[in-house]
Amino acid sequence: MELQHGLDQLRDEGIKLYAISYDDTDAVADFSQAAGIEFPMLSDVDSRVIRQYDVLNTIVQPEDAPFYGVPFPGFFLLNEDGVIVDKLFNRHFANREGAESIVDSFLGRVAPGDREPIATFTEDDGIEITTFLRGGGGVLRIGPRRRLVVRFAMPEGIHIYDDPVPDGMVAAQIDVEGPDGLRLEPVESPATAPFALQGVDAPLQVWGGTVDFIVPLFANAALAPVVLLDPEPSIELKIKIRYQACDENQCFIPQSRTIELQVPLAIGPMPAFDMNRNRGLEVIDMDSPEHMRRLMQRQNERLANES
Amino acid sequence: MSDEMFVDEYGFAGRRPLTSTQRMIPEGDFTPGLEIGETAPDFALPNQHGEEVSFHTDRGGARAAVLFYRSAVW
Repeated sequence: MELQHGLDQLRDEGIKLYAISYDDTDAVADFSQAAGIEFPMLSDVDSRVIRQYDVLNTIVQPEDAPFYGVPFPGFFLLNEDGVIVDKLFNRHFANREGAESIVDSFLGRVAPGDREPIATFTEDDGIEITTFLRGGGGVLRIGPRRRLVVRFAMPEGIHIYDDPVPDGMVAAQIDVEGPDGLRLEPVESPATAPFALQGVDAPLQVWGGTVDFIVPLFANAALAPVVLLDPEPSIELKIKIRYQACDENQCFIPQSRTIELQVPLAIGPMPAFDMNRNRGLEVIDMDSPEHMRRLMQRQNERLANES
Repeated sequence: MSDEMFVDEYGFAGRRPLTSTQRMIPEGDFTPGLEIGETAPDFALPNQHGEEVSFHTDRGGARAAVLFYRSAVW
C-alpha cells in the first residue's frame, strides 16, 4: 500500500478514500500508525464485504491458508450518489494502479502532480511537447502501473496526423526505450478528428489542440539490483517522437526528437519480515510476525469449522 | 527454507513458487467485481481506531474510492 502520493489531489477534489482488507483491527492499527495513514482502513476479517463487492480471489482455495479470503486488489470509484462509475483492476496483484489514477478517472484527464519527472520543449512550428511520468510522487516504484504522458499542445490551426498518411507524409509516432526490467504497454492514442486535405480523396485523421499520448509502464524485479546497489537509483527513459505538422494550406517538414527523462527508482516499504530486512529493503515498522500468527489462528479456526 | 526467488511472467519475484494459488495470475477475461452503473452496497466495518464505520453515512454525498487490497501484514 503506497498511496501517500496523490492523496493531496484526492483531498483537494473532495474524494474520500476507504481501504478494505481481511486484516484484523490490531493489524491495520499497527500499519496505519507505522505508515502515517489517516484515511479509513477497514477490517473485513470474514471477507464479507470482499464477497459483497464480488472481488474475492477465487483462484485461492479454502485450504490455502493463510491466503484464502483475499480480494483481487483494485479500486471502485463512486460518484456523489454512491453509484460505481469506474473500476480499476489489473491482472497482476503487484501491478496495481496508484492514487493518481483515481483523480485522473474522475477528472477525465491527466494532470502532472508535484515532483513528477517532466521535460518540455517548443518546436519552431509552435507545438509544445511535454513529457512527464504520472504518479508516485516523482519516483518509479517497482510494481505499480504508472503512465508516461507525452502531451502535444498545438497552436490553433495546426494539427498532426495519425496513420494512414499519404506517401511522403509522416504520421505521429512515439517509441519509448528503457532498461531491462522496464515493461512498456502499447501507446494509448487520443481520439482523432477527420480532416480533408486538399488533393487527398479520403479525409485524414488528425490531432489538434492539446492531446495526450499515454504509455502505461511498470518496473519489475530485474531493476531491484539497481535500487539496492546504487545510492541514488534512477533509470533513463528515451522517448523518440516523430511527427509532421500541417496547417490548412501547407505541411511543415517532419520533426524527429529524442527526449531523455531521468526517473528516480525505488522499492516501496516491504512487509516487516526478516527475509526483507536481510535483503537490505526498507520495511514497515510493525510487528508483522505477531499479526501473521493471529491470522493463521483465524484461518485454522475457519478450517476447523468448515470440516 | 531456501533463499530462492521465483519470478513470474511479469518479472515480479516472490518466495513462493508460481504454482501457489495466491501467486497465480488470472487468465482470460478478467473483470472482477460489481458492474459499473450499479449502486455500491452499504456496509459497516471497524476502522483502525476500532470505531464502526457505516460506509454510505460516513461518505455522505462525496465522491469516493474504495480500495480492496490483500494485506497490510504480508
